Amino acid sequence: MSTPAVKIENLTKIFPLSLRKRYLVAVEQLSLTVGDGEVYGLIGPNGSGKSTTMKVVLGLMAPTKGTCRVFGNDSRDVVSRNQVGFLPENPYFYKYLTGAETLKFYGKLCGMKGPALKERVDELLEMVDLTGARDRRLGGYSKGMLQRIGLAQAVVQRPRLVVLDEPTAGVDPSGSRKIRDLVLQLKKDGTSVMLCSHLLEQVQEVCDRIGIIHQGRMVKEGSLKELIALEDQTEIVLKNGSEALIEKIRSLIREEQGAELVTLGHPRTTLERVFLEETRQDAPKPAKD
Amino acid sequence: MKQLLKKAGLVIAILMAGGLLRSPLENRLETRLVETHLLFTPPAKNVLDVLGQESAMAVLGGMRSVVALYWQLMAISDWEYQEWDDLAKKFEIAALLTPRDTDMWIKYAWHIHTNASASVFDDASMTEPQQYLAADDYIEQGIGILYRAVKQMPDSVDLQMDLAQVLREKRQDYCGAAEAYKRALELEGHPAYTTRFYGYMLAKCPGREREAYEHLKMLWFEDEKHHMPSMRRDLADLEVKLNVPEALRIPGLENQDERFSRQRSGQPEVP
Amino acid sequence: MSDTTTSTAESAGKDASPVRPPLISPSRIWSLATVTFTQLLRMKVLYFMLIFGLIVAVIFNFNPSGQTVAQQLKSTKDVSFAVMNVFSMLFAIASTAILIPKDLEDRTLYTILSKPVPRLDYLLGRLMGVLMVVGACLIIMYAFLALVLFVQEQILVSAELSRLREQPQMDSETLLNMENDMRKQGLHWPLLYAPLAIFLKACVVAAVTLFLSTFASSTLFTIIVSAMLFLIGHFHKSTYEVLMEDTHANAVVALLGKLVVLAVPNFALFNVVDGIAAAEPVDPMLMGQLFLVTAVYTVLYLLVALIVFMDKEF
Repeated sequence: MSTPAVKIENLTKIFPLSLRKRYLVAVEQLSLTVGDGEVYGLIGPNGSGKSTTMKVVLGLMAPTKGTCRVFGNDSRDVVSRNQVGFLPENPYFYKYLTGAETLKFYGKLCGMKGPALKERVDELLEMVDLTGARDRRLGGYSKGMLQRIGLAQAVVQRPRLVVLDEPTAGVDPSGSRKIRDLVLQLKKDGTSVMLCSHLLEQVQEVCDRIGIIHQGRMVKEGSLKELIALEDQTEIVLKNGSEALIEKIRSLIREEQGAELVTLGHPRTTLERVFLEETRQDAPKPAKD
Repeated sequence: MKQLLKKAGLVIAILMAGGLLRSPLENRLETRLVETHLLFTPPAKNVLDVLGQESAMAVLGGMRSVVALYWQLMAISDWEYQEWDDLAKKFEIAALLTPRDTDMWIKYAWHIHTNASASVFDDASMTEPQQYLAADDYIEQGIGILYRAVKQMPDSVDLQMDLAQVLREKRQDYCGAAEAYKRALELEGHPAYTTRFYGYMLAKCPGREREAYEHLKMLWFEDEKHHMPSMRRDLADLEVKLNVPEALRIPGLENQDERFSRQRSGQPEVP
Repeated sequence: MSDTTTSTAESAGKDASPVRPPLISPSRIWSLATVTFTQLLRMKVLYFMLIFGLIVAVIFNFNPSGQTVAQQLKSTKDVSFAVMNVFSMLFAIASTAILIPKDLEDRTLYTILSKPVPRLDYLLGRLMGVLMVVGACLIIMYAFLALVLFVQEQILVSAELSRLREQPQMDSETLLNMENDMRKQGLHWPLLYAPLAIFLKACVVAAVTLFLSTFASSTLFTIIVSAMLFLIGHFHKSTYEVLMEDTHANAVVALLGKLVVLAVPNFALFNVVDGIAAAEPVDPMLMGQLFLVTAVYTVLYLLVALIVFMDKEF
């Protein structure tokens, strides 16, 4: 079995609140594993310990107790960062750098240089659909564009694990759809992803496995199917069905022993879907979303 | 919390150890910098006493020269209003801050021995003898300033030359002036006429006439450029004074009549 | 979009023991430094150069009565170096104090430190960026000063010489001596040591500020404490000596004084600028030693900054 991307064991993080003996336990006895190539969603309400856990993975914080390993390396060791990319919530990069300069800067920090870096920057700009805005300063980017450049920055050195903190916070639905597509692309490429969010729908769409964290403890963990599947129910969506046909179906159900009709009515599309349908008719605007 | 204290302890220990390691090198460097006049640190106590807190901060913050310049400029209005005590106070601050600024010293002294001493004659509240006494006081004060300056910078030709001139013109102290010219002669960059002036002053200094004669005679034979009217006159006078036998006297000095006429007008060579 | 596929897949096959990034990587530090440099330049610090130009221009035209030629030239140098000094120190303190809190506020610190960037590299890059701006500004200011001083020297000296030539009994040797005296305060190569000394001082100031900003709770705190240490560093030694002479200082005061003298850099050493501006001869060996002292201070303060910053949590 390959080394897991993230292996957290019995992580406890305590913050001293004041000089007197008052403490805040942000995370308590938390264990989780993100498999190699897996997309893991860590969900929970604000203040549940998501960000703390993530910062421990990134080496921005040290565990008070327990261990955290990234591809087998201690997360406190700078070596582990070779394999990690990070997109913080609402990132502000240097406003005065252009998109291309930003990616170049982060590439250099990862030890990349020369034509290889240049090529990688072009490739990334293409990937996040910002080629047209490459020479514009980040000060003039929209929130969605910033988020995308942030994602590009996170994967500049082709990390094997990408950590995303509320990647779609404050981004409009079409922007967040783009980001979702990028995450799915990463998954397809075999990159492990650790996604922290409180937007359940988003997590549901992309994650293989999900952990729910509450008050610093893991309360439920499992695959999406395990968490949400209702194995004994079946949904049928019918188009152009006449009243008579529907009545026929009802009677068929009545005839079946043990079967029960739970709901019947017009299916609702998601609001996101409606918004996207509506906005797609517009003429495509270059660069800015 | 324990970790925090441990870290703070470590930081302090490193800074202390570093301080112990660097201080010998630093102290040696400081001494050398002071010796070579690159560095001058006025005693903090004096600076605080003399200057206000803000000026002192500026000085200690490394802007000594500018603060000194400021006080020199402030003294200009005292000059205009003939407030000599105020002027002296300001120059004293400048002197404390930039004790090696030759021009500053010369200007300071000039204000006192020339401007201040002349101004007393405009003071109607004094009788004439009082005015002369007050003027003499200022002259002495100005000379005192120059002596202090010379003490700070014994290697400055300009100061020695200025001192000699003031002693000669303001105090008619020819022996003192001769000494100042002599010290200037020992320094590099003195004007060509210094050596002649040294001789002229010796000639007027009681008891040193023989020395003066030997010096001027040496110059006379050394180079024709020294054959100035003052030199002819002084040599001729000294030959008379010292009873030099006729046969040993320097040929071609100016004739007696001319000599006497010059002596009466009392004009020495002016550089 | 699909381009990433191949590349990430490649790396995904690698073993879990990646190459350890070197502790100090010049290229990484350089890229952090250049970004800092750009960041600070875009904050329009160069406008200050205009103010400097204005001050020097005013001095150039400023001729209070009674100033000799040498004094006028010296005034130009004194005022210019004082302005350069003030600018460098203020800039070194303020910009260094702002950088880390700003990075933290914008979360750029997260993205930088979550890359394989050792924290020492981050500190070094930031420090170097600030010093690059200070250095560049000093070069610009010095170039301007040199130009003004040169022009002033030519104008004033030739005017003074033609005045002196008309004096009776003026001989060429005296004239030459007087000209040398005036030109001594003009433009000479050793004058370059002055901006160098200012730069060295800025290095130490920036390193001290960087140390403070690694644990300070606010930018204002950092700036105020840095400025205080800067002033204390100018007179702690002489104050300590006075204290020891004057009072029968009790053991506690004596010890505290000694500790301050040991911990706070002796900034007074860098006031050689005054001596250099006064055209005192400069021994390059001593400047070398000053450089050495600067290096010791900078390394020392970087070291303690690193100790604080190394396992700081964000």
